[in-house]
Parts: sequence; structure tokens; C-alpha cells
Amino acid sequence: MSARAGVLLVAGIAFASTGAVPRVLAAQDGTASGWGRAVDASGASASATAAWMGAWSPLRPIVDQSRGLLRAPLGPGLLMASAPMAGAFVIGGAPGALARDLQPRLRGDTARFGDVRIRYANEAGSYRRPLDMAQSTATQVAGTGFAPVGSRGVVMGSFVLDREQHDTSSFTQRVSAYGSSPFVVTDSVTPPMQRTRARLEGALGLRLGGFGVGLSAGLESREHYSVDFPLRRSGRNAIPAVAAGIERVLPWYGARVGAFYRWSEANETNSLNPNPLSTNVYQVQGYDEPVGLLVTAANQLFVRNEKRATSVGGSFELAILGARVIVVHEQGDRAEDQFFNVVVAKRATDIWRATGQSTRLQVQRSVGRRGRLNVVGARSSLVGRASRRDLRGIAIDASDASTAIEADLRWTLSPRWEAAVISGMQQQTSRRTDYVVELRSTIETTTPFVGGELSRQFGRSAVAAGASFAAVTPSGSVPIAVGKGTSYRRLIAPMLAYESADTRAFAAWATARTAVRAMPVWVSARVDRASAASARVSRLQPGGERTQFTVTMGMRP
Amino acid sequence: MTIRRMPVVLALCAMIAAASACGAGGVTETGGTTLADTTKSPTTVQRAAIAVTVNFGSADAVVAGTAGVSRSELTVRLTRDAPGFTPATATTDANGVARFSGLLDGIYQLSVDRVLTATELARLPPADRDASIFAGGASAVLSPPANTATTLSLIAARRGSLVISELFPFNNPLTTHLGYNWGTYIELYNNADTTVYLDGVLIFKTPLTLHGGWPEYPCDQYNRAERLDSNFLYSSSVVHQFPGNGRDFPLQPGHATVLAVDALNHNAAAPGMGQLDLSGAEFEQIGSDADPDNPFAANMIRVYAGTGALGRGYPYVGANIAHAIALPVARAAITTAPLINTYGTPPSVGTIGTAYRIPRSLILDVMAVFYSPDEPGYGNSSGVTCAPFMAPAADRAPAPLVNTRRSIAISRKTLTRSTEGREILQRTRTSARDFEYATPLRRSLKKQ
Repeated sequence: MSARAGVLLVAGIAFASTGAVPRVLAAQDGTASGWGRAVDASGASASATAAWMGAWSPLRPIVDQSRGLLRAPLGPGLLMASAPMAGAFVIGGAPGALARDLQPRLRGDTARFGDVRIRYANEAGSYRRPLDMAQSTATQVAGTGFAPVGSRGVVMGSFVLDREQHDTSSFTQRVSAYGSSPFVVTDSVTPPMQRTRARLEGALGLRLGGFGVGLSAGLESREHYSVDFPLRRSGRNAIPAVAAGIERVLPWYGARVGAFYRWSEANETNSLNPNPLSTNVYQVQGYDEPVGLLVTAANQLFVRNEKRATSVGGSFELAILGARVIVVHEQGDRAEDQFFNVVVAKRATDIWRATGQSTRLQVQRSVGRRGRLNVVGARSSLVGRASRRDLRGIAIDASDASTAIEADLRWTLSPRWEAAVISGMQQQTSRRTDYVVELRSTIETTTPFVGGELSRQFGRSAVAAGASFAAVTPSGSVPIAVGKGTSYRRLIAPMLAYESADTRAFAAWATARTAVRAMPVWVSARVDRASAASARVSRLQPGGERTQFTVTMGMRP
Repeated sequence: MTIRRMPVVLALCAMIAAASACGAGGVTETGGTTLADTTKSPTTVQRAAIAVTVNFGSADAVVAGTAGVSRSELTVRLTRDAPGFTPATATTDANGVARFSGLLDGIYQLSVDRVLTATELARLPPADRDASIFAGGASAVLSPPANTATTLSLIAARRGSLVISELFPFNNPLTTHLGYNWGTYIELYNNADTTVYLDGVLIFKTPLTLHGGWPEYPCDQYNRAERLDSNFLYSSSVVHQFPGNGRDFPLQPGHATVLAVDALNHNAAAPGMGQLDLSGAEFEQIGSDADPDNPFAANMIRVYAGTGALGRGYPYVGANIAHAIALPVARAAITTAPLINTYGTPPSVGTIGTAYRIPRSLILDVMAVFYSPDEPGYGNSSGVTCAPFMAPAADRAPAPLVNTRRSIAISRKTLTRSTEGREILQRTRTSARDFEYATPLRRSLKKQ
């Protein structure tokens, strides 16, 4: 295939894909994966690149488990990204390991990588929780890269700029409403909203003799506001994060041992200016009935969330039996304080404290001369306690745990054909005990997932296609919805029903790549769909389905 | 591994996934259960009990004894100044003790009333037969796990003469950011057997800062002496006086009169909003030139009031306050006193303001109210309400009935009827028991 034919093929797929795209997309998506996700649970950033490219992020949450909407796994990205690398930096963000992690070891590894992506995505559908955006359209520019610096150093960085537009938003303006903390402020309207985000992350690692040192930092800033609505929602969210680490090379089996420290202090401010339309604010505090608080022009609402989290960790790497084995463990603390309005800003209205730990495992090796196998696993757990200003003592006990394992097998079938398959399992447990209303919930979900991709080279061009699947099987118990208050049934019961529903998610994608003046250019289109396999009307379970369409164009300068 | 084995691997992965997805499981639904104490750490939210002992006030103990009223089998009502709290009731035992258990940390209001039967009433000498009902209220601060005990004194009804009979605090928010609250009013009623004259009567409301504030201003540290002052009642800077020179505005026994913010047909001014026709109101506030002036309604005299919101007066939409009326001579007896601003935003919050002090002996009637916990716009979202709300001599328990989203009146209960058929309204100086929701204006403008 000639270069011109390749360009035509790329353009044709892009045109066809764009034409099939509906007008909407939403935040708070969670792809099934064994890799740790970065701080944003949005489909806008999650599917812009391969999953492993985001695991190193210093913005990855500390002692917090976001509960996203189910999506099928991301594709291996045979034509878009390099194969997963291995190391404590790659799976756990340990900066001291950076300079040695991103060195070619296996066939397909690369010492330098860089891409720039433009992405358009939209998502809609009724199969969601009350605080997920009803409709969303995202336009994004993003880039990721890593390269050696001098003879001893390696840098890695990424950026994301995007704008989300929501024709219909949700009952809250919180960026991520479903975390481990049981506190979130909601209101009674779903106005059209616009969100703008900028994220910048970078890491530098150096080899200093038998040592390695590294530093990574990230900053994400968001602004959002309502559009053409007789009530003004506006807010800002800033997340700075820093990680620093060191490692030491040991003289046997290629072993390395390291330590690192992570810090993040996010602040989110949301305000409601209900002029001329007034609204009621409903503060969700566990399973207690949220009671409406009137906000008017004379009684505006100002909510501030201050989140502080730190962790310390250690890493250990070993080369044995032809495989590279990496273990990263970290444990940390998290504190979240929620403040209402200016006057009582001196005292937090809601307080969340959590401690937790996370252990990540990676095993990577060649399989014959043509294959490579990468297995990642993660076990995270936290326990948290929530207290309310109006009551003394702990109002809510909570614990979250997640175990995931994912295998990624890639095989060069011939000089033209390449295949990859991913498969794994994710188990999550979420327990809540609300001592105020004396209700408990335990939701355990098992989510096996599988996906595959096949690519074919045509001269300087190539095409790939793939599909993935994930299924949630829940067990446990949730409070009965019958007889509960109006706000509980509107805001809490559907959330519990969604998270305790049998859910299936499918995705399919196609990618085409060609070279324009020796620069790889690619375009990819992906379709996602999720729906319930069970119906529990009495639990107020959402019905219907959730669909997402994504078109991404990228290049490797 | 060879190429031929790849499909096998793929199929294996898919089988693992499918098998796991089809696994048994399921989520059950459970109702609310009392969490056993063994599951709680000592630091979790605790519950405790309130024991309230009901007795008769010293002034009325003899009356109660003569009537043969005992302290047992009385129904005590428990409310709480917290969103969504469902009122509870308990019955007193032979010692007059009622208990409420399983309560969370907070401030609770207790109230009770006891209507005398015809037999009991017949035992009283004619001079005491005004006391056909006993009522009382009290507050209790509960800090679990410690239980708390309190006493509640019942006093006999004294119907008084001029009383506040109705409040209409309806604030429909759908038109402007201020809401339409010009249709609010207060109704006064002649509860005596002789004509009273409204001329010169003062009407005022207590300031928010007297009864509560932000958490940074605890009730036991700020304005406590003023709140519990039995000799004076403290007014905000909104004090009105009825016009007249002494006998210009008589009010016959059993009759009521309406004091409107604007004496207009508000149903015509704001159609479809559940407003009322107050064009027949006898009195209205008067603000600036922007205030529509009904020539058939007498204008109130602004003693210490400004012209109000948009120059149209002061709507009767407030809660966590008390409305009061006082004799005309009270105007000359008013003195000022400092009061700390415990509500508001910086820099005004925390500063010292001025309250107008009116002798308790000149007060005719008091109506204490706070927000109804069941209204969607429960107003006191961040503040606290003090316990006690005010001096028991003024009012023993506020009525938690202000719901600015309902086109409904807060009306004084009917106690009985006179031999002439006039309504005698209940006045036990316990607003929590004396007031209820009712159709607006049934004693005045809509009276048949």
C-alpha cells in the first residue's frame, strides 16, 4: 500500500467514524483493568492511550477508590502505543526507578516514545447513577512521551487539555462524586454545563552509579460553570501532586530496591448562585435521608473540599527465570474536609479520614522469539471513618478493597500480522455502616474481562481491529429502598442499585496507521456499550444502556 | 508456544471470563437494623435517652389540685431543631415521667398540654375556669452516651386580651430572586370579653441573634443573659405601632384584624402563586414611595423600622424569632441594649449591634416560631438554635411550623367557645402547643 493510499484509508475511517458519532459523552468511566488508573475517572482521558501509560501518574489517587461506570477494557493499542514496559515506576509511579525502567529489554521495547492525540468522544444513556453526567461531549488534545536525557537520565511526561460539554449534567457539580468518602453535596437541577481541564505531568529519573533517583510532579486544574441556565453553578478544582524516590541496584539477579514518597493536596470549590432561580441543596451523608436546604440569592451556597493525602512506599525488582518481577507496596493516609459557606469555613461540616495500602505486582518476560507476556496485579484496600459536625462520634465506617490481575500477551504472527490478547479479573468490595440511620451495605463485585486485537501491516500502513468485554457479577446486601425518603430514593437507592446490578460491557474498535513523511499518523474509532443483565425495579435500578463513541487521531512526531 | 496455540489461549481466556461472569452471587436487600453494641467502637455515634418530669407550675399547682388533674397519662411531644426529624410522643407514668430513648446528639424540644374535662372544670371556682387547659414546654440538650433529665412545668391557660392569632409566612420563590413575600401578614384577635383598642399598640419581632447563631458563637457564651431575661423582651430594629389616638381602632370581642405588609389583592398581583386577597386588610406597613398604598388600610407607624426590602416593608417570613405585641405605653419605656451579631457574614458577624428592650410587664402576647423541619427549604442550614429559646416567662417552646413554601397559615388553636359563641383561643404561653396549621384568614377577612 502506498503512502497516499494509507492517508486515504485513515481519512476514510475518520470520516466514517465521525459520522457515526452521536452528540454526547460523560465523565466517571472506569475501564476494567489491572493497571492503576490516574486521578481522572473520565472516559475522556482514560481511553486516549494505552492503560499502562497512565499508571505512573503522580496524580493517581492515594487511599481512594473511585467507583466508575463499567466499561470494557481498553485495547492493547498495537498501532498506537508501545508495548507495556516493566518496572516500579511503570506500575507504581516510583520515581527512583524511572531511569532504569524505560530502557529496552524485550523485543518491541523502545527507549523513546512520543505522541500527540486529538480526541472527540461522546457518551449518553440512562444506565448510570444519579450523580453521573447524563450527557457529555469531550474534545481533547493530549500527548505522552518519554526519552533519554543525556547518558544517565530519562524523562517522561504527558499533558491533557480538554473541554467537556454537558447538555444535561447531573445533580452535583463535584468532579468525581463516587469516591470512598460518603459526603457529597448535590442540588435539585441538572443544568447544561461546561468543563475545562488542563493536566500536566512530568517525571525525571537519573542513574547515579548504583543508585537511581527521581522526581515526578503533576498538576491538574479544572473550571466548570453552567451555561444558559437561570442559576449559576461554578467551581474550580486543583490537584497538585509530587512524588520523589530513590533506588539501589543490588549485585544479584538484577535486583533493585527502592523507596518513594507521594504527596497530593487537592482543593475543590463549588458555588451556587441561584439567581434568579432558587434551588434546594441536598447533602448526601451516607444513608441518612438528605434533607433540602434552600439556597436563594440571599443565601448562596459555597462548598469547599480540601483533600490531603500522602503515602510512602517501597519497591523491589528481580530478574529470575527469564522474567522480570516487580513488587511495589505503598501505604498512606487521606484526609478530606468539606466546608459549607464562608462563615462556617473555620470548621469542617463533614470529615473523612482514611488509611490504606496498595500492593502492585508485575511479571514480564519474552515468550519464545515472537511473543511477550506481561502480567500485572494490584491489591488495594482502605478503611475510613466519617464524622458529621452535627453529631459527635463516627457516623459512618467504610472499607473498600480491590484486587485485580491482568495478563497481556502479544505475539508477532508474521512480519505482517501481530496479535494481542488481554484478560483478567477485578474484584471489588465496598462496605458501609451508617450508625446514624443504622443501615449497612456490602457490595462485592467480580469483574472478569477479556479483549483482543489483531493488526496487519500493508507496506508503510497498517490496520488493526479489536474488541473487549467485561461483566460484573455482584453479591452482598444493600438497604431496602422501599419506605425510604424521597431524596434517598432519588440520590442513593439508584446508586446502590447500579453498583449491585449484573452489568455487561462491550467495546469494539478499529485503528488505521500510515506514515506521512516518515511520521506515523493514526486514527482510531471505538464504540462502547454497557447495560444491565438483571433488573431490580424495587431497588430503583437504572434501566436502558450507556453508549460511548470515540474518535482519536494521533501522530508520533 | 506456537502460532497454532494462539486460538487456544484466546478461547481459554474467554472461557475464564464467561465462567466467572456466570458465577452465582446476588445481592439481597435488608431493612434497617439496630446495630449491636458489639459492632460499635466506643467512638461511633452514640444514642441516649431523655427523661422528662412533668409537674405543675407553682402558680397553678393549686388550680390543678382543685380540678383533680394528675401528672400521669400525659402525652409529651418531642421535636428537634434538625432537618428531617420526625416528632415522637411518650406518655407520662404515675410520677409524671416520660422517657424518649435512642436519640442522637442534639437539642430537643418537649411540650405537653392537658385539656380539662367538663367534670374537672366544674370543680374549679368560676374565677379559675379560664384555666381550661394546662400546657408547658422545655428544652433538653442531649450529649450521648450520657442520658439527660429535665423538668417541664405546666401552667394554666390565661386567655389574655389582644393576642397574635395567625401568621402567614408564605414566600413563593418562583418570580424573582427575592421571592414574592409581600402577601404575608399577621393577624391579631380579641380574646377578651370586652372591646380592646389597637391604637398605639406596638408590634415587633425579636432578633435572630437572640435565639441562635453560627457554631462559632455558642448559645451559652453569647447573648445568654438577654435571651433568658425575664424582665425584658429584646426587639430587633423593626418596631411598628398601630396608628390612632386612643379609641380610633376598636376590636370587638371575638373579632380579628389583619396587619398586612401590603393590603393588596396579591392573588391578582401574582396570579397562580397561591397568594391571598388582602385588599380588605385594616392595616398595612408603609415603606417608601415605591410601596403601593391602599387608602382604605391604615398605615402602621414606623417606630424604629426602615422602609424594608425594596421600600415595601418587612415581610413576615422570618423564623427562629418571636413576634410580640405590647401596650402603647411601652413605646416610652423602650431602652436600648447591646447584642452581639451571631449571624451574618464577615465583617458584620461578631460585632455588637443594638437591640430595643421592652419591659416584660408591658407585653401583651408572644408568638415564638422556628422553621418546620419538613419544609424543603429548611432555612437554618448552618446555624444553631439555642435551648432554651427564650425566657419561659415569655414563651416556653417555639412552634416549629414556619414553612415558607406552603400557602398555609400558622394559626392559634381554638380552646373553647364562650356562652355567646365566640371563639376563645388557646394561650398557654407555649407556642409549640398553642399554634397549628390552618386555612388562612378564617377569623378575619374570610369570616362568614
